[in-house]
Amino acid sequence: MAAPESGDGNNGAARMVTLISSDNTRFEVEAAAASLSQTLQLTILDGGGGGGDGIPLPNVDSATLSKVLEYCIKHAPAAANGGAPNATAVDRAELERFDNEFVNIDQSVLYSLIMAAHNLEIEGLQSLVAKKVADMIKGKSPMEIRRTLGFPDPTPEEQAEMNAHMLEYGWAYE
Amino acid sequence: MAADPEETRHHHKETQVSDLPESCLAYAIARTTPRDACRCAAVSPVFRAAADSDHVWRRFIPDDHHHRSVLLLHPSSSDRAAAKARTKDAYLGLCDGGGVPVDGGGCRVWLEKATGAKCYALAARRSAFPGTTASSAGSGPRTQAPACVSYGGWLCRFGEVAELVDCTCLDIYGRLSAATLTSATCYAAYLVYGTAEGHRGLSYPDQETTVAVGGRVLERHCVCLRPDDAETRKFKGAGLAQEGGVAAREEPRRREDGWWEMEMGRLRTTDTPGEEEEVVASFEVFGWYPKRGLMVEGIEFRPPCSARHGLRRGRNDMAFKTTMTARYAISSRKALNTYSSSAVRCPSTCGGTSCPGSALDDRMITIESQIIDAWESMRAGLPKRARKGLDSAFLLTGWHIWKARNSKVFNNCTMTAAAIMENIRQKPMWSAAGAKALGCLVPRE
Repeated sequence: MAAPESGDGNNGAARMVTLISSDNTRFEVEAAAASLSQTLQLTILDGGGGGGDGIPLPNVDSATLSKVLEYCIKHAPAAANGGAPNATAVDRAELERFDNEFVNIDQSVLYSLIMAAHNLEIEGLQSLVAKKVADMIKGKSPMEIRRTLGFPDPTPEEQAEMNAHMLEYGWAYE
Repeated sequence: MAADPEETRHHHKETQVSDLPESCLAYAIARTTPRDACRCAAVSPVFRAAADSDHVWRRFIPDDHHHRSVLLLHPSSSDRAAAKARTKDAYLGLCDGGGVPVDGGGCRVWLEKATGAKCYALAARRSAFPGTTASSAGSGPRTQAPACVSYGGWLCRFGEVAELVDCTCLDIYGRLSAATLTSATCYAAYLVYGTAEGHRGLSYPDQETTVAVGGRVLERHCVCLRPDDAETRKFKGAGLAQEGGVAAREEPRRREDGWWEMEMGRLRTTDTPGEEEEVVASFEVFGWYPKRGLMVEGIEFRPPCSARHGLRRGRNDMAFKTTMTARYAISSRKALNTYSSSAVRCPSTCGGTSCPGSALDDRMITIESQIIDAWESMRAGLPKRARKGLDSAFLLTGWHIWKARNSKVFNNCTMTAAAIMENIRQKPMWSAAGAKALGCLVPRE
């Protein structure tokens, strides 16, 4: 998959494009995989990213980009079938297993992924990471959410605000 | 390139939750529940902006409610407050105020605040059966005894309340298409009721509620709308109840609006929306002693108030598994004078074998037509007085079977068929119960 510093991308049947991370690492991937990103899709359709040019992504570092591309490569075949009614249950189960595994990561990596998915507008990845964060939030009090998501300890003012909120929205705390 | 200090710095900079922009947070919060979203507003200023955003609350409003939320957002163009109203306020508007009428004012619908689940109230219907005469509170005099009050759904919640003036049998039900409920949600059905002054016959726990989906009974509860020890003792004194009869398992609860409510049972909707099956919640009082004074406001379907007590649940299940047997339904289609319509349901204590709870409904046998036909053909050739006696005999026989069933269900005391027959033959007791015309039927001893 990700092949840093790789040369031209037009060998074989599949068209390749080169993406350049914020730290100047070059990634060569199939155009179909990169096109899961709405942001990249237009550039790629216009013929960009091929050859030695590469598409610079100043907001995404190499560690995050390699993770993003891992997702795109896995999901590209299913997306190419357009939601695939002919996709077998086994395929779907395999993708589901991959997704669960995929978001089982450190919080800082997760947050980087959220930003990258958002910047690159990769719909599937956006909802996958959003769902992960939602699961971390569900059923918790504001204080527990702060702890779970790695906020620093609240200041007395913030604590007072939380208490006031609890009084105002009693129904949400039952 | 690997030595590039620029790169090293990028690699070690960890993204914090505080780095996430509002739009990303809103995207995640929209995948929680309204309750969680509301709590998120207290987490931090960025979280508050995200959690209060229209993106989040639009997702919590069901598709079929969107047109109404638009009305809530813009009640009138000149309203300055409305111009600033957010989707969150519209959502909260859909939750409050007892719901709005839908389907031509037939039923009221609202959203449960914490989950966003659609809730329904089916109101009392005036007359679903031919000959049924429930009176409407506040409109005209009370009319003649309703035999069965039924709720076919789709009637206004507050315009009409069914009051049971006098009846012997009672069977109330509310129906709803499962497709109208929010998917993958736990629901409970509630009977919303009150009692008029001088009510009677509602205190003894021989009452049952069921919830069924697509004809399959999911839950069956013993209930008692008006638990009252004194009246229960009276029943016992009159021989209508066995000593030590069990208390109802479900307790009524006083609502904020003054009505009482009784949980009828629960169901869980499937994950696939648009299911076509029908949900039926029913309430039934066994036995044909007189009942009066029940006022029914309607039947509600909504997520349950609280998690159910595990112990109570277990006992409930067991009682039915071990004691319920096949059920027979006997009802008089042509009403008698005294008993305008009586449905005596009695499980076959006489000779029936216990079957496991799961097979309960498969064994429900309706012998209505044969019994009634036999009854009617027998009545046809009799003089008036003998006819009265025959009617009494029929009903009292049914009563004895019902009483035996009660002792089996509530006291776990099984009677043999022979013992029940013996009871039925005890004429003096029958006469004491007011069956005057029996004498001309039963051979004199």
